[in-house]
Amino acid sequence: MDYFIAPLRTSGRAPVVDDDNQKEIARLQNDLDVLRASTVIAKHEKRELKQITRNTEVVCREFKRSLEDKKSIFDTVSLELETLKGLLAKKQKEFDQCEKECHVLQEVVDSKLKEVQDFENQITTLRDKILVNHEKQHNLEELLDSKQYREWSVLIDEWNSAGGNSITKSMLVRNKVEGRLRFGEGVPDSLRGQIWQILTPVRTVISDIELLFKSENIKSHQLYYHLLESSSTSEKVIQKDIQRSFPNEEFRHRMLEKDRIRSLFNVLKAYSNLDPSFGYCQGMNFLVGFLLLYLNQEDTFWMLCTIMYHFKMVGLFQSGKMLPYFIHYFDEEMKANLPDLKRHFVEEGISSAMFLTEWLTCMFVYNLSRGTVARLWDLFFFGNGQQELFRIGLAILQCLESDLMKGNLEEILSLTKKKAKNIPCKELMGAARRIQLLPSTIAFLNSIESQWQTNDGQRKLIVRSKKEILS
Amino acid sequence: MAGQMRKALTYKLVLLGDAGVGKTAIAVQFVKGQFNPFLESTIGASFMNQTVTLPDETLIKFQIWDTAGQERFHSLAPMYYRGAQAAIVVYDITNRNSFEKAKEWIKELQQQGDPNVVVAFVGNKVDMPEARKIQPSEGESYASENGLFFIETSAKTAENVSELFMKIAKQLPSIQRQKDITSGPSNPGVKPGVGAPSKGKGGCCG
Repeated sequence: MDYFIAPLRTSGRAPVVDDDNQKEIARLQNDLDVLRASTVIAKHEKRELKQITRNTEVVCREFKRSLEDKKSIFDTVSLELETLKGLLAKKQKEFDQCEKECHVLQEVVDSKLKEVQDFENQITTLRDKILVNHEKQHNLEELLDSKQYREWSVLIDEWNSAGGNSITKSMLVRNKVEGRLRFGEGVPDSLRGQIWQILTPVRTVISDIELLFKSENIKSHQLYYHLLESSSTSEKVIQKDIQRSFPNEEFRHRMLEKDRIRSLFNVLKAYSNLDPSFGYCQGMNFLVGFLLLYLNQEDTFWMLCTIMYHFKMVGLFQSGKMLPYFIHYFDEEMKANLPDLKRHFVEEGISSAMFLTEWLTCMFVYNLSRGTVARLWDLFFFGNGQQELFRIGLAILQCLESDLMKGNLEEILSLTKKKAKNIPCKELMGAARRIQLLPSTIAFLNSIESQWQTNDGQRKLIVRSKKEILS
Repeated sequence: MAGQMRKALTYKLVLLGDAGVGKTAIAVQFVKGQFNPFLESTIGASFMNQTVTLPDETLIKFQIWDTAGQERFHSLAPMYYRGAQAAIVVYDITNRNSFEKAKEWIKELQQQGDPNVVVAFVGNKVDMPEARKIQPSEGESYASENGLFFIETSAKTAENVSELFMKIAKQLPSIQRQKDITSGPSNPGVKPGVGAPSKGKGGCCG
């Protein structure tokens, strides 16, 4: 301080303007200028700094805002997460519940399956019972027949002792059968096979056929075994069908008895060798199966020949030969006997061929109960052959008419194929007996020729008419 | 639901093929989901119904005519394949003869059947590979030459059985639409062969 005061005091006393002072002033002036300049610069810098501060503040604000946005997004997301967590927990709970329900359901399914198994067992038991009942019914029928059985046996014995070809004895049997048939009854089941043999010209058929093989030096009574032993091209086809020959449980049960399956094969094979150009046709398996319930295999074979040639069924099996005629005449019968039903069938697109093929070629074995078929065959063998098949066919339609009239295609086919066996035998046979066939149908059936010849055309069998045989 | 209100489109389908190749077994497997190795031999023909639903919810009802395979019943076959919109021709992959027979059926269908009929060429019994006589390629190439679709099935294990019918069903409606355009919404399948042999004695035996 002293230093600065001293010069001032000196200048105050004697304001001498010397060089030194001048210099000092200039220097100070210069300093002042410098200071002024730096003030300007500082001011400028201050302005810039202010600007930067402002900018920074803006950035800061923006950053803050974006931070706030992010925070709010974060909040939303965490809220959502929370919700999802809740949902997940809920779903987990639901899943657990479902799993639990699943377990319960599985248990229910298991128990239902067990029930089904039980039902199946019950069905098997019931089926067995049915079979036992059938057997009982069968025995009962036999018992009922036993009274007449003795009478019949006497007749049959007499016929047999007369060499099996006595016309008078066979007439006695015929008369007795006629008496039964007239009252709508059949013949005793246990003697049925033998009675059929007496009613039909089976022996003539045998001798006619044996005659054809005379040149081959086959002893009589050996022909069946000769035919059986030769190999047959139809064997494979027959074998395939053997297990497919049971139209119902009772039939299966009976066929499994007494080696009948083997016999079924043998008879069909022997037949295919008798008529190699024909061989085997599906449907015959049902005919032979039914015959085997009443006859041994050799007798069955000859009875089959009788059905085919004497009763002219062979034409039904030959491809496209007789069936269309049968269908035509059956249609005519329907128009005459059941006109409304025929019209309904046409409207529903039903052709008689759809059920008649099965009915005729299997002679109803496929579609009626054993007892009913047996009664039908009694009539068939008694002599009217195919006329009886026509009558029973029309009778089935008549008995089912009210249901058939209501049915569509599907229901009609089911009725004709599966429900026919539910018609009580008596009702059906009664209806059949009352049916009058048209003369044209009878004329047609009588006119069918039944011819048979071997491949080479060497052997030819023309079955004689019934009149010729009986006279 | 609406399903009950929807009306099914009905189609007539016929099964053809040699005896014992499994025609009935295929039909029964499809309709009832069952297999029985000893089904009774079919005499003439038998009839079954089954409805399937296509992915687009269209209901297809099949009227299935299962014909007898044996040659003797051949003369009846036209009554069943006439007017059929679909045909399944079946052979047994273990039986060469049945394959030849199936080709004959195809020829007959091409000559006598409806020109628009959808035909499936089917080799059945693939559950017996050890006994196989017909290789898939052989069936496949025959089918493609003749513009049929080919599939191998097992009625026993149900393999490809429903696929077979679904495949047929998928091919059907477009044909039906074509028909609707040309002939209105008639349904020829419902009346198979009315009066087929009933024209009188001439019939198919003249």
